[in-house]
Amino acid sequence: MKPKRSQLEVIHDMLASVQRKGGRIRPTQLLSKSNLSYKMMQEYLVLLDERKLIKEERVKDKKFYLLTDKGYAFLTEYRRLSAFTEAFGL
Amino acid sequence: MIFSSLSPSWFLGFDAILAVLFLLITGVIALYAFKAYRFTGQRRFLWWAIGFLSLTAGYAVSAFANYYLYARIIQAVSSPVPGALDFNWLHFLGHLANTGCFIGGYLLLAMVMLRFDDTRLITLFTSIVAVLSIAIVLSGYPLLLTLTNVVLLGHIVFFIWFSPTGKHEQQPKVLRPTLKRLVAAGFLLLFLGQLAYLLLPLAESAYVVGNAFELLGFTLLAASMLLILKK
Repeated sequence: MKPKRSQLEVIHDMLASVQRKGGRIRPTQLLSKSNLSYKMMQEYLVLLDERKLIKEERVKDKKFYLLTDKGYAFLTEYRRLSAFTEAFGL
Repeated sequence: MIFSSLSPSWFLGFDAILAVLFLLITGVIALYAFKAYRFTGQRRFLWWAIGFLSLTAGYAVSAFANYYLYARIIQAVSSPVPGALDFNWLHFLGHLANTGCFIGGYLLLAMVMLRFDDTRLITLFTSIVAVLSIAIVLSGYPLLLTLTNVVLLGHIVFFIWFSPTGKHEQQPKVLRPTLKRLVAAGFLLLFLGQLAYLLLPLAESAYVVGNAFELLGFTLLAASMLLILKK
């Protein structure tokens, strides 16, 4: 059985999903890619918005989530950190 | 290592320069581990930072003691004054700080790899380190420190080599094992360096060989850090 993801891993997975979609994603796509329940995803979206890692955008009544510069910086730092963790066997 | 008194005369002073280089590299790793702690809030990164910081402090003591010893020898040779080479107090304090820092640092690193991040356990081991350091210095057998380092570094190399490789999809597949092997090789060279220091009573050139191994080991660790930070 796969261990439960930490909050940091969930945030990374959500942001990485947005990045893979070119930095802009629809809520339904994010729900399927982030592997979370609708309720959990809403909670995380509030958290990501508070931390200014994503921002909401509406185009012709359609809702999108955009990755901010801070979001891109988070992903870069996460990649470095996972490389560091793995390299030093932590 | 404060073994300058067993060093070949031509190497005096170089060991102080190398110690400064090593303290810079361990300092960078400690800083990055602290940054990782701030980012994740996971205590293992904090212990890892303290472990490397302890090594940094050990090398700072080495650099200072070796440079001081070198300067005193130069002074004694150029203007012989009775008592100019009286550095027993420095050797004693230097050895105590040096021993405590190295054993404490390597022990912390090994404990983090064993997933021990309980503050009570760390406190217990820190107390043992303090007692062990004093015992080693008072015993008059500084090579006991080297032997302890050999054992601890051997464990660290083993833990890194056999640690599982995660599946971070955004990392290039080729780079992942390369980085791990690079770090393991770095620690292996540090281990060989300590083994060389064990041969000091037999040949003074072992001091140079030990320093050379340490230089290579820390170069690999620095290269790994550069690859990580370049991402």
